[in-house]
Amino acid sequence: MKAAKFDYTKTNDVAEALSVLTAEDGDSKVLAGSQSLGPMMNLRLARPDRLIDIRALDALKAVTQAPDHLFVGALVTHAAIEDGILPDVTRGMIQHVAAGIAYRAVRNRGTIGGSLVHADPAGDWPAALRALGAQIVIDGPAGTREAAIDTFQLGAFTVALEEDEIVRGVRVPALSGSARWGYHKICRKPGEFAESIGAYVCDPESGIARLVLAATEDAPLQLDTAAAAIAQNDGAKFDLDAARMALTETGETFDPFKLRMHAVALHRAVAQAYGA
Amino acid sequence: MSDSGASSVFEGPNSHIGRSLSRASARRTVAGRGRYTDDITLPRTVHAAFVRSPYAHARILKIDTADAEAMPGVVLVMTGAELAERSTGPWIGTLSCFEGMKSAPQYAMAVDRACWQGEPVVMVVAERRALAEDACEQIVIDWEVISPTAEAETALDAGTPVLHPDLGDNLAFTKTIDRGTVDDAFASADIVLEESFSFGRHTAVSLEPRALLADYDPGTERLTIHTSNQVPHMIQAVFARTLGVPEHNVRVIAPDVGGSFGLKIHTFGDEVAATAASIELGRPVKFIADRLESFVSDIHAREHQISARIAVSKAGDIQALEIDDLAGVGAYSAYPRTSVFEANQVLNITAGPYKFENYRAKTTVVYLNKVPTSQYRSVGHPIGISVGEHMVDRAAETLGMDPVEFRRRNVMPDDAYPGVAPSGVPVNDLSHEACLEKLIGLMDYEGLLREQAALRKQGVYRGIGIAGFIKGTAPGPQGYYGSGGAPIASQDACTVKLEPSGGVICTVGVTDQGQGVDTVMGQIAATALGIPLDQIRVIEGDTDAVPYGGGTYASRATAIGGEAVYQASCDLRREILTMAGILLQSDAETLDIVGGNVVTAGSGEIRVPLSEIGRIGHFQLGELPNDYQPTLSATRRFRLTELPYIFTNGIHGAYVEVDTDTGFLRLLKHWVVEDCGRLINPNLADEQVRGGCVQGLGGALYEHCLYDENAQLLNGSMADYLTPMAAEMPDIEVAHVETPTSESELGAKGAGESGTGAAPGVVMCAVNNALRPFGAAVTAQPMTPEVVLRTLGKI
Repeated sequence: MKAAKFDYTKTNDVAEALSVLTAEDGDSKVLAGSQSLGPMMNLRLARPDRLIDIRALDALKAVTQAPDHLFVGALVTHAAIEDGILPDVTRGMIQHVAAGIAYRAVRNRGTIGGSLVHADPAGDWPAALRALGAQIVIDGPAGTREAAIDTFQLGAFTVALEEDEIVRGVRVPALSGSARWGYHKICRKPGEFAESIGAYVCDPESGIARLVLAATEDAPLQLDTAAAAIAQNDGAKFDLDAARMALTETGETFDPFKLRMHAVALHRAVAQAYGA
Repeated sequence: MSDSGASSVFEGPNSHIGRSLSRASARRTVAGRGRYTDDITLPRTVHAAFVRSPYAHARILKIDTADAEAMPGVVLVMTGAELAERSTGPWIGTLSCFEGMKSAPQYAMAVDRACWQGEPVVMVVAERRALAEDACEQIVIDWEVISPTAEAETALDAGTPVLHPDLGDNLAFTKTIDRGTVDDAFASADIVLEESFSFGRHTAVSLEPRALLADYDPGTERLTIHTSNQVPHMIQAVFARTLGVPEHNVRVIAPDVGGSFGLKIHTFGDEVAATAASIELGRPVKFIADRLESFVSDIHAREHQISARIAVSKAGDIQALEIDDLAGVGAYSAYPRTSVFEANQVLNITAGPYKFENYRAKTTVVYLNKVPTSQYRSVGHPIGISVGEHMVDRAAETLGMDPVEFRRRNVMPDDAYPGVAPSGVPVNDLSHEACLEKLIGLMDYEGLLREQAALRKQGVYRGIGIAGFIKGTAPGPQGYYGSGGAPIASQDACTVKLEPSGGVICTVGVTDQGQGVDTVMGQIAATALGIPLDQIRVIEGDTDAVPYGGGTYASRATAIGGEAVYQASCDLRREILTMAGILLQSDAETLDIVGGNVVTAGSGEIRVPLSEIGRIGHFQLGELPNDYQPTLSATRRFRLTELPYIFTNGIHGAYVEVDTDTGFLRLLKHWVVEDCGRLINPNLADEQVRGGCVQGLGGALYEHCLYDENAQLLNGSMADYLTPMAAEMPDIEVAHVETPTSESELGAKGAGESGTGAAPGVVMCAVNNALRPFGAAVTAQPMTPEVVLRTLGKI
């Protein structure tokens, strides 16, 4: 299929992008890597009246390091992260995650900001950055604001972003030398949509312990009680049954197959963090 | 072998046979210079798009096209009823060789009723495809939904809706092969084992979708069809007859084809509609199926359920096998090749490698409100091989015999030919014993067993699979398409011509889809003629340019087309030597052609180059006697005479690991020993085998057209339908045993499909070998994680 008719605007000015976004004649969509929006438009599942191509916005390409975090611009591609071009503040975690996203052709164009805003339940960045406790930096008509990732994704394909806002980038917290992480994605084949994603980050210095489950039908799920117990026991008692128990305790219901996939993903993410 | 002289030609210093040359077309396609149908744009081309039925079964009450006709760029809107008026009548997808078979009349687009989700209903032709799609959205159809028939198991039950009331029921075809004394054998057997299997529907997913550019010239009344296709002459015949254009006025050109796999040997209503639009408009009309419509309009394949039982003696001999197959085809039997060949082949080839005589095989083929199924690479073989090899493994396991030892004991011996397979199909020149022994060495079977045992102690479950097969290739005229009434040639033909320059033009009816048919034909012609390869140009895929032939399907190109090339080239060689003999005043018998020169036989002394023969033969005919008129060209045709098929054989080995927590399978290694007769180009044969294996592994692990109870396809997009790709595929090691067929001088058999046939079965055997400690066996394909976990009782 071919996309339905749309207008196209490209700008190198954030303010102009924001003003076009709020133009009153029809709805607009932001185009970054076009790895999800493009196919959806060609399937005529998405039919925006206007595309705003933000790929020329230099402010969204910045990568800046601070003592406690790394700012990654929304337009940074998965490939750039995979290739280790960015300073490593997560002990290799985001590089590992980036390398496992879809196929290289997708990674060459797909962006970290696009992934967060698209908010596919099976997306890698919503899961991984949730486990890291990242902050989202958002530009709007009133200036720049920050949002915790925990409250940013509201559900499947839904985020707490106003119609007149765009994501500028994400602040990735720096992990200490004693931090551990694990990330386990279960895919039928490399590059396919995940059956389950388990992500675990524990940093004794900051006291952070986060266990995240993704590839459900909703936003990623955070299992704080389980995470605290895992951190306390250095992962020792978190076997498959414990993972299944932790999932049951969330109150969510899963069919038997998904429950098993999720339990394995969590178990293996934790096992990876503790070198088992 | 017909004569010893022939084999010396293949093995002599002049021979290009057995050389691993690269595909002639590889350089251009790798460089992006391929020319596919969609790359061809003619002046005034317009584009077709289709409104397709959203329902599996629904009556068309009213179609309102007024708004669509008023949309920008629209040049034609045509309903199914309007197309029917411009056609010679509906198709009926039956062949007389299938006794008792029935199918309903099918129009190119639905006329008053749609019978599957995706059936074309209205065509819009516009200046651009996007505009045609915009207009499609404006067409309003009043539908009356009818209950669909979605399940093969219940298709013949009393309460199930009948798709085509005129047929009386949903039965398309039934057939039973019954040989020997099956009931007695089971009654007196030492051991009887039973199993049920299910095989999911899948589809071809060619990288290049179906594509057609029809160009009707009202001045000359010539219709030219550029199409991504394997069978140009069949398309010529079917389109001409359907649209009432004389066949000789229709030219079909198949340019580069980006994958076909049997998909592109069928008739598709949307392509016929686009061609009708070109006739109506008197201008070129292009139709390129997009991926979504491909999933609901390309043929599907392989929806089968089988129950099987095997009888074996305590000593380890197969005494009898019985299978009962139920196949759910689509809403119509595909025209003109039918939708029942697949089931027929399951009956023919199951347990084909083994020497036992009591065999009963029944199939019941039923219509469903789903996409029509038909022949797709390795028709029926993945099903029959999986079933046969699984039953063999079960028997060996029950007896406590090693599966290799059991096969050694039961395969037909290499000196047993000519003979018949258990189904009664004639087989000749096979090599099961040699292939089995070669495979065991190739895969280091004993070493794998040791590694498997060691890893099991660590909780790692690896499995070793072995699966032998017979594969029907290169069908002959007996009991096949042509004799069944379809305009499909079982013969193929070649014309070779010596040009004035000394170059040779070789035109063939078989076609290249990227597998290297042109290269192989060039190797055969160059060998028979005694000329360098760069002196030959092979032309295929254009009905105006090539002699009439069946095209490429059923692994026939090299076995049938190759022999025609060989015979024609031998004729041309004889004529060149005759003319050279006249010019040189020598006896033609004392001359030979080596390296593009006529030489003295034996000594190799150069006497005259072919360029001189070409020059004199065309421009200086006065140098020849008046009673000698050289044609410097030869045409030969070839068809099988003795056998219905050239059956080939081979065997696969697989090594897999099962993650018993997730049910995921890892394919660690795959081995193939193949006997496709004389190897013309080992590298291209290996590529065919490997590609075939990958396609088979896709069906075994990933590919599945999932339907709901309303016969709606649930996963018809590349986001939801999984296909095999390089990352998850194992290394595939290929070796050969060469037993030339007695049917031809060339001795080549088909090689293009057998990888697809045996790969699913061998992986199923390997998975079940891994699962043996759990007392569980997977008998459903695709072997998804859910299937494996359910088998293990974990979900």
